[in-house]
Amino acid sequence: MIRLRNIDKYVDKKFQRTFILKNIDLDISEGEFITIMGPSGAGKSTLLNILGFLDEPSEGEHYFLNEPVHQLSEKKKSQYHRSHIGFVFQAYHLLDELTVYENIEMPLLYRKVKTKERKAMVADMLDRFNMVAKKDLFPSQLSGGQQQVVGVARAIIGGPRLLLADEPTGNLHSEQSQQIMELFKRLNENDGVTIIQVTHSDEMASYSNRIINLRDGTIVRKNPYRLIQ
Amino acid sequence: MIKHYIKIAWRNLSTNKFYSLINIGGLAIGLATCLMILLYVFKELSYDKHFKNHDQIYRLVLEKEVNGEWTRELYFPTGLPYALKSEFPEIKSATRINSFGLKYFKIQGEYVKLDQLRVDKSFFEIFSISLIRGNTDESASGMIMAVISRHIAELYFPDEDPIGQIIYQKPAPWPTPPLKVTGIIENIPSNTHFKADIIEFSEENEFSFDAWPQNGGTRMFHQYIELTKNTRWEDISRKMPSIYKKYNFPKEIRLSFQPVTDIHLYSDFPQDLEPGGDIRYIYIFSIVAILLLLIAGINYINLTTAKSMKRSREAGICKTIGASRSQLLTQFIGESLFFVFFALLIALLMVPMAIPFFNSLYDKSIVFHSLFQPGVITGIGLLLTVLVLSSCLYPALFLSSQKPTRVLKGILPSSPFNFNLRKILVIVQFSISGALIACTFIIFWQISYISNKKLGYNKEQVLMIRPNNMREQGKSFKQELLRHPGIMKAGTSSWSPENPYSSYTTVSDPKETGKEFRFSFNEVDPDFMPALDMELVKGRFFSEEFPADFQGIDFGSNRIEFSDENMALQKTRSIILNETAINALNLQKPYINQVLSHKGLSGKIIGVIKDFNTVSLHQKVPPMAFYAWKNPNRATVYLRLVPQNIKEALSYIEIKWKKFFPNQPFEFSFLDETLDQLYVSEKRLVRLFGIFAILAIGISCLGLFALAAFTAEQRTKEIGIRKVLGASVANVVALLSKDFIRLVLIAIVIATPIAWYAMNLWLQGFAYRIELQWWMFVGAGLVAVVIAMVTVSGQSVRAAMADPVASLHSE
Ligand SMILES: Nc1ncnc2c1ncn2[C@@H]1O[C@H](COP(=O)(O)OP(=O)(O)O)[C@@H](O)[C@H]1O
Ligand SMILES: [Mg+2]
Repeated sequence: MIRLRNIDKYVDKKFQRTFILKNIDLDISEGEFITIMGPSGAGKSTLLNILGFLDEPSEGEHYFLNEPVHQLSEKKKSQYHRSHIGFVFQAYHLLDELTVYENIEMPLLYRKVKTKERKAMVADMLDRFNMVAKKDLFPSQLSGGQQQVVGVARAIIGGPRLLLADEPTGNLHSEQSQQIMELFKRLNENDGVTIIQVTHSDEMASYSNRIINLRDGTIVRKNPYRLIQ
Repeated sequence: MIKHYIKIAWRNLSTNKFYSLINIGGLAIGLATCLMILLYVFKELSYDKHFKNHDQIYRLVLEKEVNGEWTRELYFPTGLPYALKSEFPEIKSATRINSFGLKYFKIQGEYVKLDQLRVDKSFFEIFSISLIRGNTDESASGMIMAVISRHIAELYFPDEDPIGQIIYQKPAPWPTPPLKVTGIIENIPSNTHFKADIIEFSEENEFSFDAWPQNGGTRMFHQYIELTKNTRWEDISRKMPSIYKKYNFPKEIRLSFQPVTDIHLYSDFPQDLEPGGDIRYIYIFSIVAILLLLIAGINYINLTTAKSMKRSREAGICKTIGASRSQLLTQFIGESLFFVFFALLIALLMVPMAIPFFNSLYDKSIVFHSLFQPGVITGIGLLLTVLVLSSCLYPALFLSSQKPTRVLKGILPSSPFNFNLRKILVIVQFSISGALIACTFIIFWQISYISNKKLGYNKEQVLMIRPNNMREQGKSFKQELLRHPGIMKAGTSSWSPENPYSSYTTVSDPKETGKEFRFSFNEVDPDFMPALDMELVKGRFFSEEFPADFQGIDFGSNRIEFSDENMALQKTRSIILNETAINALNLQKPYINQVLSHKGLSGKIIGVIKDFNTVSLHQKVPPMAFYAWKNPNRATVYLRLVPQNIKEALSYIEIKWKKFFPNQPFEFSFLDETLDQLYVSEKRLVRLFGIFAILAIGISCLGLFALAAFTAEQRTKEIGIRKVLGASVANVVALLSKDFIRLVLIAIVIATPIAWYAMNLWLQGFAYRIELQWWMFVGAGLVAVVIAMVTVSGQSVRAAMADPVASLHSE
């Protein structure tokens, strides 16, 4: 599904080139559940953003469903965002001015889904995540865990084939975290959604079936912590 | 989707009430002002366009070359347009109009003042004024035919048919036949270059024109022609030289054609039927309108970009869930449209409330419903388009172009000129406001300068009355008035402050041929100059003791006799000159007892008076010459009153007036008030500019206030840390205010030369004017700085006083 070859990401500042990502080769097949781990500043978010077309690599090739992403137009990318890729963020990033219902509905509006169909889909999603009673509340009236559930619902309502989650449980306590992970697991197993998440927690990582370790912008094949010791 | 955008826009608006209020409020005020100005401009531009064939109607203007300069006049030998009509098939009609302005008529036994117009019948062919009832064809000997306006008909003949009614004129030294009403016309629209409650009409060709008259002819009428369709005035103008030849025009005289639609805005003849507008004010107000809108638009841009941190997070999120750039653009532009539309709605509610105020201030009659005409609607549309484009395109483009990764990480939008642009815009706002404040101050100073300038006479407590048919009664009337202890002095003169330099005569020195001076000639009685406290430089005033003061032609009497004997006596008659006349003629000392024998001016100088200024200090004092008169028929009587009992004196004067002139309505005015009237347009200007300046600085400060609040909000944490580290409230206030005040200072530096240039231009229109001084601009700048300081520091103080612990926790 995804193929990265020789991906570099760097910033040039005052004649000095700083690498954020260096020489990344990565293949991800459809249906995988992957965790990216690594110390803070390793480049995990950057990698995730590249995978989600939010950021562009400085060098290298990036294929998504055999399409060269580095050659896609802005328009094509936003079409992929609508139909193929969903995002979940550590800070939830819900729209403050919209209710739970409206937040979940938003992606469908961009996809110009018809009203009737849209209503059915949102209702279905609310039902699935037990949020029906809270549908008219605003994000500020919800707990962190509940907000993240809305975030996930919004991310998957468009039926994405790839779900990207950057520290989705970073702001949650363990019970809420497990709830989210269970959700991911089910999505992965029942709906066949490919999931790539970033986390610092081994427990959360254990839900996935492959772990990629990132350190100083490169993928470490073996456990990097053991090497240092 | 649209519903959604509106929902988001509305929730944004209502969750940020403070910013929204400032944003929409400022915009609404700016828009309302613009609409008002638009209404005014369209009204001014619409003058005389309601006449059906307004494009083909021209007024004739006489151009005369004096000392190499072309002067323009409206009065010239009457009958000329009919002669032209007979010469040119291109001229469809010709007519003449005359007016004495407000005139007394006796209707139903009572004197009332009506706007009177005297026309030839053909007037109704040229000017499409609809006749509601009656006709304009009648004639009867010994009577004048007249039509009255619908308004007058309803007011004075509510229960009767006005047609056939007889209206009487106020008695005058000339024949005043009664008027017979033959018809009722529709009210003359207020956007017409003449007013008319009553139009007297008579047959044309009363005066024929065969050649340019040697003695100047009868000069009373304004003369108009209407060209046939598809004829331009140039076509006629080209053929004029042969007419000049045929009709024996003096070589320094030619005719020009003034389109009727130009009269209101481009004409400033003292003889115009109505005081005109001024095209320059149209430009000034239009510019001010655009500037005010610009200021309001800048508020919008600044507040939107200031909030862009939050909004760009929103944009970033929307991008990750599939919003394309064009969808985001639509959303943000839609939101701006929503805002602007909302502001427009409020503005439309404000305008009807502002109209009565504007009308009373500016003596105009603009009406709200005239907003709904194609021109105005296009104007509004254009304004809004410019506003929406300028105020929302930048924020919308900026927000929609943000990279989602960065804004989602909480990094401030990093457009390098983001904050700089905001600074520049604040500078623009305050430059405009500063310049407007400076202009207001300077206009105000100029007006107080001219109204306090030494006039050369004492204008306080002088009452003016204007009896007709005084003759020998004049003297005894004056003497009876002076018997009252409240009346100190009384004098008569042909001079009047409203029309001070009316009787010009060209004077030339026989020795220096080719050099001509335009002298103002005035007749006075011996008491006039002392009554007004005029100052003698040399010699004496006129006096009854010197018969030579009164010899020669008696200009005051009804029948002026140009007998040989009189003409001879005229050569040694006493004259008084003003200083300007002495300088113009280059006379040598001693002036007194010099006998002048210039062409147009002869006599023996008995006195020289200090220049006195009559009107409008737009004009320089001309050379003036004075003769004494004995028993004038018509004159302005000047009465100097004792300040303490003016009321008593007034009722005494009225009683005496009724006794001496029982058939004449008693009317009076005060000299100082009359003089004040002459500066009405300048006074209006200063008031309007004051309002504009207040609005400009007000809207700018609204924006600055919000921006300061926003900055304080953003820096809450920094302020908290600084306070924990020991910064005082004063330190923090200085820190927060410094940046803004610097911007305002830069703005003042920019505004000063602009205001200087503009005001210098304006002052050129005054013969007597203040010198622009640096401190005037410093004063205006200080006002702007103080206002800005108060605005900003309020916010800063609030932020500085906040509890640091709470603010550090809030993150
Ligand atoms: N646009 C950028 N400019 C400069 N440095 C950046 C930029 N984006 C990320 N970085 C740097 O790259 C590194 C990796 O960042 P990130 O991918 O967010 O790390 P992680 O998510 O693993 O903590 C960090 O040191 C960060 O400061
Ligand atoms: Mg990260």
